[in-house]
Amino acid sequence: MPSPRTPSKKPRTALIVGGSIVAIAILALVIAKLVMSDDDDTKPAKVENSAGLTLELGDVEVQSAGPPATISTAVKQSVLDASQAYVDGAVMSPLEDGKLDADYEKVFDAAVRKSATGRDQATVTEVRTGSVKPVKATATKVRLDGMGDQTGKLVLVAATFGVDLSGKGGVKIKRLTELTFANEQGKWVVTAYRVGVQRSTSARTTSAVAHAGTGVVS
Amino acid sequence: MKLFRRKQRTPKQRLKQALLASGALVVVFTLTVVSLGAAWLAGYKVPLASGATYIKVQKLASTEADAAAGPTTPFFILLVGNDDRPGVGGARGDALHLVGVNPKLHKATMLDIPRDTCWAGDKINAANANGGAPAQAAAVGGLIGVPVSYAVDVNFDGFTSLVDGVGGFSMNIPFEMHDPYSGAYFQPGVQHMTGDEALRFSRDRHDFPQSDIVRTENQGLLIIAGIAQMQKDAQSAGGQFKLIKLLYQHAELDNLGVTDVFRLGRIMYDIPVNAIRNLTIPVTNGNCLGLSGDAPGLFADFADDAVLQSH
Repeated sequence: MPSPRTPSKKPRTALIVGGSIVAIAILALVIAKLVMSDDDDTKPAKVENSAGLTLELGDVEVQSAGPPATISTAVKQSVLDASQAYVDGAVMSPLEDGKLDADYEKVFDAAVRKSATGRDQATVTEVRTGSVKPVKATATKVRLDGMGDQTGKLVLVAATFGVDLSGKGGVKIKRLTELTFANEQGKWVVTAYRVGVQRSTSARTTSAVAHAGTGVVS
Repeated sequence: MKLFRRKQRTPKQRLKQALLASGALVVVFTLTVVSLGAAWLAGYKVPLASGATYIKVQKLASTEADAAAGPTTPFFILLVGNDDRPGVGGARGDALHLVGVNPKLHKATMLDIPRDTCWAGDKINAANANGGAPAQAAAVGGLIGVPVSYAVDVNFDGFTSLVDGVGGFSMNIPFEMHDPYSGAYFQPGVQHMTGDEALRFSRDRHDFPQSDIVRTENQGLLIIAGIAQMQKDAQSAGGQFKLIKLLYQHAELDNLGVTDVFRLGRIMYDIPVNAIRNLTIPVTNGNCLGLSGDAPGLFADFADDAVLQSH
């Protein structure tokens, strides 16, 4: 006499296993998304100012016109190094030594270099303020915003940070800088910028804003 | 005699089987919703969540540009609102606005073109139905006498999705509207517009004796309010990148990469809203509207540098 059939447990097991795999995959996706927005400990490769002003990486957020894009560690390092070089050469060098470090120009692409070193130089740099040594300086963390293209390839990275400075004679300076980088032949260079600066002495306060990135120099 | 007899189950077994089936359905539904949600959060296009609709942005002609910097000389963009919608079809260019941009002067001019303006023996809006945005651009460019470099073609759904995507915007409604045809019921004054409300506002023509002429002017006001909102949203690079992502979620872009869109966006950001002139071209009355007044002079003034000096 045949034994009674027992219901198979295979479909239920398969459902549980399959469901678990999908749930884990989703969890991994969400964690990866959260991790991408976290701070990391990238530091500039080179710091060249006496005040010890060192930019640090802060929040990172990446948008994309296609599949998700990410900012690799190498790109973060490259953008942070260029931002530090700009701060050292265009801001700290004039305040500490009374002159620009010509290397700061190299962080800009040809299209915006003309503005940064010409019409906007008085805002983009502290060359007109001159030496106010000794200088005290602090900076906010550098926020990175990335933009991926239709294939998810990173094409633009913006670094945004603030710097507060004070020096001899009661000079106080607040700077807010946004440098947008594009990859030019393997190197990340500034292709657009917005810089706001407020300078105060005991006598007066002035402020200025400069921006470029359309290739048009008035 | 039955070859296969179904095994009789106890009520407890039936309950267990029902619970198992219901549980499986719940798990599958939950996983589907969570997967779509997670994919959307991660930036993938999910048609329902992304509201993918029809907006087409085309680069039609090259502009004089630095390869790395975008347009450097005056250029012209045609904005087309077409009437294509379910159950109607058509896709005629019912809202036509030609924007001239002067990057160097940080100024722009928008010419509002009534849809019934005559061109080549027909109403000018027919061009869009016959040949899409390129044909519409050729018609408008021919009428005004400028080369059109970019065309943005949007239907009703695309328009409402884009407005809702930026969270709507505020605009000053110039007069009371009470139009059952378009559903435009507005009191004058500043108010926040959703995509649907903006569409209703832009379609109202029955409230005005001059019908489509006033509607066209109102569309111009709406576009400028939209530009003002986008400029607010684009005050940081992160904000600009979000707008670009939004555009790609809703639009199909031909011959335009992300960096091109970024450059064009920066140019528009550099133009204060009060530096955008908005005027409707002078036309006659009738079914197919001819040009009137100093239309040739206006077009020449517009065509040379996209900025009006004598009008």
